[in-house]
Amino acid sequence: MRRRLAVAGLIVLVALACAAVWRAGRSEPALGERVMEVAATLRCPDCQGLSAAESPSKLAGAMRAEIGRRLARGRDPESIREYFVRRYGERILLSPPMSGASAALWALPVVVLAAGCAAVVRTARRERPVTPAAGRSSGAGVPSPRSRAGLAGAVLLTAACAGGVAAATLARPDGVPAPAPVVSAAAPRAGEPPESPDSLLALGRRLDARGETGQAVQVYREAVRLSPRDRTARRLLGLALIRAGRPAEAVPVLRPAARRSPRDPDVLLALGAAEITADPPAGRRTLRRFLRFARPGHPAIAAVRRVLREETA
Amino acid sequence: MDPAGPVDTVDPPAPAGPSRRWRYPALLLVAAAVMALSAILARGLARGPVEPAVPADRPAPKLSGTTLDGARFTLGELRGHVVLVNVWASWCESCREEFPLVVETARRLGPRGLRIVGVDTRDTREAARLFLRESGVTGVTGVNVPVQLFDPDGRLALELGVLGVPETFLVGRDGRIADRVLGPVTQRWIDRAVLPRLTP
Repeated sequence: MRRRLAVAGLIVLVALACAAVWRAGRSEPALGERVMEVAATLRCPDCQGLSAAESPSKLAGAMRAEIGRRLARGRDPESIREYFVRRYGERILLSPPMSGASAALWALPVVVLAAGCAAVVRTARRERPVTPAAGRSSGAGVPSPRSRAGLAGAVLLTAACAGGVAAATLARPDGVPAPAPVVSAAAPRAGEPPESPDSLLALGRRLDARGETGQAVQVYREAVRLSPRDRTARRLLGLALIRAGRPAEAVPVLRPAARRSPRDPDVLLALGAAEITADPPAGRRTLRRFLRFARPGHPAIAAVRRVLREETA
Repeated sequence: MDPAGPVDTVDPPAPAGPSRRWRYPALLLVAAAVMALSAILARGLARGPVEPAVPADRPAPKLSGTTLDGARFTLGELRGHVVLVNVWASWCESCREEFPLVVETARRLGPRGLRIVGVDTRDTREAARLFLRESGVTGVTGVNVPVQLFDPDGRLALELGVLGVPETFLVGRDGRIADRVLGPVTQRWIDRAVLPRLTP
């Protein structure tokens, strides 16, 4: 009975592992996502230890644009990596190709895992020494310790593999909305930097989420420069500046957005938060406006009321 | 739990022959593996970070594009000349510092056959023109630095394998990259690397 349960569990685990592998390979991601995937395997040329996907540098931006152009032309990721290797050498790859010593390094975890499993199996076997009677009774319902130990080893190995696949599948989307395609057309118009504000905002959000506020500010600033009328870009830049302890710089960024959309509670909230330290009377006015236009369930209402009470007290 | 439990756990007999026979060889094997691994790691530590292998001696890429004033240009047109390909941008402070030397070098060594091609990368046309005007280069392209390729999306910079801005490549008469400078060029580098290649 127990043995059947164990076998059933094993089958379920293997099925889950297969499902995870299949799922990972099935969905066709959007161009922007594919660009980021390829860029994540390449080193940013002008910074240290960052991939071309996460660096805000100009050259990394150029690399993302080039990757987008090539993907749109139907090139596969491998040939795109080759393009960069021909120009930069193999150091442009974040994980260099397997060869010689690096192959041994790749194999090491597998060997260690196998050795660990073998040790577990051995210990399990030794704890219940095989009695001749139990060893031979194969037809009986009691599983022999030897087969149970083997089963335990197999379960461990499968669990480890399933865990690895699950981790790899779950690790890819990092809770940040997928960036819009970096390049919208195969041929960018001359005189216009090809990086779209949307992809910059996505990059900025990712940097922000990792606590790299300074770099996020740079990226958002670039997005605001590219589309000065985009109030989301202005709001994100303003909030990042406030978090970076530079609310006075956030005010001139946010005021144009508040002028253009004077009833957007999120813009008003960001502007009010910036003004309340830089220019308290204006901040109180803006926050009162926020209270007037915020929808009833807005999560910031209570905090804003508190700030206004403290300010007037 | 198992009624037989207490009997089993009382001093199990010492493991039988096979595991004892393999204990020492196994220990030796593990020790050897650990030693080998530490030797590899120690060697890596002692060697320190490997300097990036910058591929210098290779054919110059077939750069082609439009210049800041809209003319077509390919690097191949200058085959047979010694060419400095200088990658810059208006947003780059060190480029501003380096630019006077580039202009001066073009003026001084142009008569001896040196050609200079600027690559204005990840930039806007307006900012680049302002930069050139502020740097004392007359007109849009200037008389001294004849060609300024416009590279708004960084395609040409990637084609060259640029690692940062500014960066300068020395292309020999045979069309191969003979040398490169990461960062601003210096008078010393020009004297050492460029001068010997020019006609006296």
